[in-house]
Amino acid sequence: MKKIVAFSLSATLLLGACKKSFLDEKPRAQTPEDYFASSTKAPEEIVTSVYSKLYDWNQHCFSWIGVSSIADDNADKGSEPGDSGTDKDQLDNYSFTSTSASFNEVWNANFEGIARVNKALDMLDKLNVDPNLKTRYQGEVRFLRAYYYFQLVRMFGGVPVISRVPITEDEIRQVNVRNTADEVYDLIEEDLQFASASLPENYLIEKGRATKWAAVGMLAKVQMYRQKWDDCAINCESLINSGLFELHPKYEEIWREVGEWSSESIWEIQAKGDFPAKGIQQYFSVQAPRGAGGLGWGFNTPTQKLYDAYEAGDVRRDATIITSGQVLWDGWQTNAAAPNKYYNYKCYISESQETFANNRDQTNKNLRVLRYADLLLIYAEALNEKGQTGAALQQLNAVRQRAKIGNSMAATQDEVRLAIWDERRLELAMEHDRLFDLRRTGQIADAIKADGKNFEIGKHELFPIPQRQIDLSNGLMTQNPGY
Amino acid sequence: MLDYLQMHKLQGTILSHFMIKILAYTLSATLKNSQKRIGGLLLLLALVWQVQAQTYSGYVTDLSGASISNVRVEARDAEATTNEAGFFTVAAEAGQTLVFSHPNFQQYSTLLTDITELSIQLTATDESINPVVVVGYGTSRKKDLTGSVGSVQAKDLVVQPVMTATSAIQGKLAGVQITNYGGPGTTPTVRIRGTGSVIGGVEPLYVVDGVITDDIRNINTADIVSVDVLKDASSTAIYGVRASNGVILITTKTGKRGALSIDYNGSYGIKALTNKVRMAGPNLFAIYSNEAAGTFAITENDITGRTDWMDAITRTGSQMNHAFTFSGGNEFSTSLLSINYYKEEGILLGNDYERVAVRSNNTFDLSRRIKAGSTMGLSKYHSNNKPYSAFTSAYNAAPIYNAKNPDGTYGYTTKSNVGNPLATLELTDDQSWGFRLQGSAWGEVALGRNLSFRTSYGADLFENNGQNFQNKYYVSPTQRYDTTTLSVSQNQGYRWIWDNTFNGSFQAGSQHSFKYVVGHTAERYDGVQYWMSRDGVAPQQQYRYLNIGTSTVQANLGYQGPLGDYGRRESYLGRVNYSFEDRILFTGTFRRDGSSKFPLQNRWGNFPSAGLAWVLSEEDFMPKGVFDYFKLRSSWGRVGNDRISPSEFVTLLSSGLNAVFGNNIYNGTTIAEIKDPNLRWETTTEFDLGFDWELAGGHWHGIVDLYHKYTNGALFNIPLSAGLGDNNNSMLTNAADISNKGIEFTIGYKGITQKGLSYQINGNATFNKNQVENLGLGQPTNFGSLNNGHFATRVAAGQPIGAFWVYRTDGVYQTQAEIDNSPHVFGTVKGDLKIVDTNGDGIISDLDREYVGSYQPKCFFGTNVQMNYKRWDFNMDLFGNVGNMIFNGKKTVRYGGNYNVEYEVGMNRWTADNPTNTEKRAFNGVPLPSDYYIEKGNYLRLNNLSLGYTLPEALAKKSKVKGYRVYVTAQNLFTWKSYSGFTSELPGSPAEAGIEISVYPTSRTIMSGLSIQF
Repeated sequence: MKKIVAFSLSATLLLGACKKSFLDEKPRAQTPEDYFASSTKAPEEIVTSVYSKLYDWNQHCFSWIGVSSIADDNADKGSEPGDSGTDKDQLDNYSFTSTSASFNEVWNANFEGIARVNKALDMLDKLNVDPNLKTRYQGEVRFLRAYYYFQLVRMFGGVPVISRVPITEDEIRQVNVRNTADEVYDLIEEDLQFASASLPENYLIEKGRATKWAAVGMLAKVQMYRQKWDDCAINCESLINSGLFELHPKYEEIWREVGEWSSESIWEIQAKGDFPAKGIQQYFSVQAPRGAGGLGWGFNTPTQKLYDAYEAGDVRRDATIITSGQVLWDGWQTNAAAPNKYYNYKCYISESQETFANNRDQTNKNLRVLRYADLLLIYAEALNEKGQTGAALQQLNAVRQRAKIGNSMAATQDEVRLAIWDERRLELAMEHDRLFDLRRTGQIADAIKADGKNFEIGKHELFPIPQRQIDLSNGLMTQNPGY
Repeated sequence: MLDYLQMHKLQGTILSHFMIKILAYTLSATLKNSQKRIGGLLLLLALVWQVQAQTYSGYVTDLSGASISNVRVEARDAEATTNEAGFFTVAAEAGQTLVFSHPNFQQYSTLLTDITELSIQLTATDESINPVVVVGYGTSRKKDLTGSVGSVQAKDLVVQPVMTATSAIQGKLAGVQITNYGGPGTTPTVRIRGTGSVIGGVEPLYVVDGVITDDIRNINTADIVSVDVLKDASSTAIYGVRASNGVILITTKTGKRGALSIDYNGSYGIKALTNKVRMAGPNLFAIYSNEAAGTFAITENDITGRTDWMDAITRTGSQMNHAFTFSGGNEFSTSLLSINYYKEEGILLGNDYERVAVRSNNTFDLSRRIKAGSTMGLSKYHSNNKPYSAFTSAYNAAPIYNAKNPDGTYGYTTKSNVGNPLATLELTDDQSWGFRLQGSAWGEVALGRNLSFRTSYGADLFENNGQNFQNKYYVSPTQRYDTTTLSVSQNQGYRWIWDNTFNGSFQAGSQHSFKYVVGHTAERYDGVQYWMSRDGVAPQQQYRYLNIGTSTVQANLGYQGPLGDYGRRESYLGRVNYSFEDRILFTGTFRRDGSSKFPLQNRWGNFPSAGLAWVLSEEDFMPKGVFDYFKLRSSWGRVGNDRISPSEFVTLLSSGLNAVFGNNIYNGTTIAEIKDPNLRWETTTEFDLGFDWELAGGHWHGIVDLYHKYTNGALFNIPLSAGLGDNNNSMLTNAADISNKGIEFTIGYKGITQKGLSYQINGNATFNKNQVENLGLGQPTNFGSLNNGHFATRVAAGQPIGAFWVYRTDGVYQTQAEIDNSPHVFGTVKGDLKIVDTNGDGIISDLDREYVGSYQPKCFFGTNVQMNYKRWDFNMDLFGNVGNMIFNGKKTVRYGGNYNVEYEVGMNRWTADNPTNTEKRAFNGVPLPSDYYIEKGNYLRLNNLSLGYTLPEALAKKSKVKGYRVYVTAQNLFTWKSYSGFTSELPGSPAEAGIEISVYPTSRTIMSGLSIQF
């Protein structure tokens, strides 16, 4: 009997249990509700988060450098022979597989960027934002969505098209289903069209935001990839006719601090070198000269073939390639005994002559995403394909002249086409463009084989879909041919 | 360097209060005695003394409250014996002493006052006769237990010269796996009956005198009465949602009634590296590096010195311990004050830890019905921290130059990428210090003869500080720091816990007895942390302030935020023990827990358990003379684990996703993480079947336990498709099921020889099988980063947590034809390891990896031998484990730039002239993680060896000393091990332990000490 009493006592205690208020521990990080209720900057900050992805290690650093540059014929892995950089050796020598880590990294990064765009678009709709500003913000983030998708489609071919926050079961399922490359490109063009119509031509202070001309220029480039030559030429012309851009006279200055947002620059990812510094995470230190007296890890080194490809007198060679042992423009002495003969000059930061906060991981190096010389060569290619070979040569030669070399000797449409492609190789060397150009122009197999690598036709034209993503898709995601 | 002024003041205050009390007590006792002889000189005392002989009565119980019969009670002129209920009456006078004696209990005496109703508790002399264990919100006689509880008593703790109680119980209890970390001031990892979670926290719950905590480094081992480990769910379920990893209950000493006793225990000893890995010397290093076709050709001119880096960065460390304990009490109160100073100088140069711990525990009998008391531990520590990565650097550094040049500058070479490890150590100025106040105050009221109410309020306050100053230095062009940086950090926190319990018991007839506890408890913990840094602070010691920074670049970064963990809990608990003639025992517990870590709908949960035991040796059908004692036990229960970060179920904003526009940084914010709004705790259901036995008049005793723990809904970060846009591509949810199945054996023998040598031998062994049963929606996930871009472990269904997942090798390529005819990694040449294409798809990729065991041992075991002969005492502990694997990760951290190699690797390397099939060619590159790096982790260690001598009483008496013992002790004296690295003890998080990269090697400690009792 007493046992029952004891139990009922405890039961009484239990029934009186519900002091819920005591257990309500409020989260110490902001909830969306509190944030939207209190912040006047919410719309702007949500847009900024989309740009923020551009600075991340997995977006624009080691893995991206690996897949977009080390895998081409302008660059080698670099560093020391045994230093594989996780899988950069595989990217360099074309022994990569679907489990090579870099692919999953860049895949994740770009899709995270896309997700941030979609979240921003969703929230901009729900928040009370000035209509003009809202249109601009939508333009900015859609420009960035196009940018992220352009990266993905060039690396992997068709990928899942996700244009809004997946909420329904079907939408969640669809994030694992690949669309065709054309469908991806359609979204890219649509986003860029929208951006070009809704963005301002320029910003007085906030350089780094997407502009109308960044959108127009990107659109032209995308249309070049799609061989939509008429549309491409029209967009090039409209950008050229804006009169806002011209080639910067000194090629070697383009990638220096003095060349930031020069007349040649169409869009850059803006970095900040003084304290507190914010740059593309370790972009400099991964590529900077290695070894005793070095500044970094020394990956992504220019090949001898690239070095030799420049004509005599071409100023671009010594502006693109550091030769170990040389004194750089700011007086910095490189080490002749460094592990690699060549290093990437375009990533170089002068610690003495440029803004530098004693932080090699966060430097002021702006990534020049699109510049006028690129656009002139796009225009040249469009004109040439449209049969206007003479006009094409004019654009090509403008680029050559700035490089202090003579006019092209090409004459026929075919010759001019090849000349433009070769020019793109040299003009845009080490600017994450070459590999995708090789793929676009069908030169990839010959070029990579000529570089002594094991290129398999019908397979290596695209990178493998990361095995991780296939595993996670429950069989919905398909692999590229050959992998 | 360290300002202990505050501490000394505080100690002084406590001490003086205590001394005054002691003096007053002693004085009054002295006066009373003289009064008796001289006769009525003092009026006051005369008044006290003018009393008649009267009848004193009361109950005698053991520490668990159980009645003790047959206790002899002696007054000056009369004596009595307690009855079955423990009750006695005896005629005596106030001022006389009553002495209680019983063969199984320590003699106890009390000075009589005019309070005539007494309540006496006796402490068992030999704990094995009727040991009492702490079981959570109460105590129990060991023989009444229906669950599995392991206990280690004070005398077995203090014999180990280690800092924490958990280190001291290593190898002593079945089912309790302790893995020590070598660094000073570190605390070992503890796993009770396997690992039941991947990321939900796997350490047991610690309860110190009823106060829940997660760090027991503040407690002096000598202050501990017992460490009780609750293992099965019948024992742990009273702690509900926090109990799934087991519970360790630590009880600290209280003062002993009677005259003041003072104990001093001091020891000092040295520590040394036990186990050096032999590295290549300059010549072999140069040959190997050049052969590896590294970038640098190392010539004779490059060899400017010869350094054994492990010698260069290590030293003979030391350990010192001084403890004073003052204990005393009268009929109203007991007091204990202890002061302890502990200092450990690690084997890593400049790395040390010191701690001052003061404890004051008091009890007061306010009336016959009301008792109160307090426990309080105050501790302060300071440590000089050095980067443990120095061990890895020393392993990697080129041996070809002097650590220091004759002119005092640091040596360096351009022929290797590894910086000078000695410079790194000496140029690190990193300190941390803090204090902690942990204690409780309690009151207990007897509501009747068999019911009492207890309230206890426990608090834990702490503050930790860190200060790192990086001075400018230039060792080499690549090892330099061009500015000065001061970084400071602080965290402060508190925890309170308020328990209210009713304890009662009753009998129903002569056969049925019941005991019960019901209660309520509430808990809250919270805190704040700061972190700040500034460049340009001048290097002199007195300028360790951020504001001193004279730099025009005010390079200050600041952070202030909540502590990583904060929360609230509220619980209702109950336990009933039923005994039928002490033959059939039942324990039922129930706890209802609420935790703020979970969403409203999952906030409350119920955790029941039941245990049944049958003392078969009491039954008639059992043949007599086989077992003296045999108890069959079985229990079932459900417990939980809520150890995750707060607010994991709430969708939050991620800020700081910044971008630059113009020359300004703009704050970016978004919802970056996908959260599971239905998060709940991990639930472990445990079944236990065991028996306890004694044979041959108690000479032999043993315990066997079979257990099966099944954790349902273990927290796991399930990977998500990138398209869903989570910033980590994962979501924390209750995805995994994990099981631990095992069997535990404990066996002991005690005896005494005719010549008076008494001895006991105890052994225990635990076999545990850990397995991830499934990952729900989750995919196998990789862990175990090797710091070289690769990883070595994976959590996958069907495997133990943290299984090694690596490539298979099949010898070494001897010919080019062999390479050409098999799938191989690009660039493979003769002398490289053959990586096996296990899935036969013609390429070598992650899909070829296989599981090759894990860091979790199949069996761990310990043995303890104690001997006493006349004045000599001897103790020996052995500890070991078998069936675990180790990944020798330090061998794989090579980025190409002439890292040193082990002597054996260098000497035995494959060359055209030495076509071995076991060692690869000279190679400086980052290797694939393969079974080449997997080694067996079996080891057996002579954990402790102690010899003591107690000085003769005659000598002791002359010097007014009651006891006097000198001893020598050696910790970790010798290890027999299969593993070739520094240590087989490699703690780590559940999914990636057992990888030796930056490890602090275990050291050997040899000490001598002295205990004195005044």
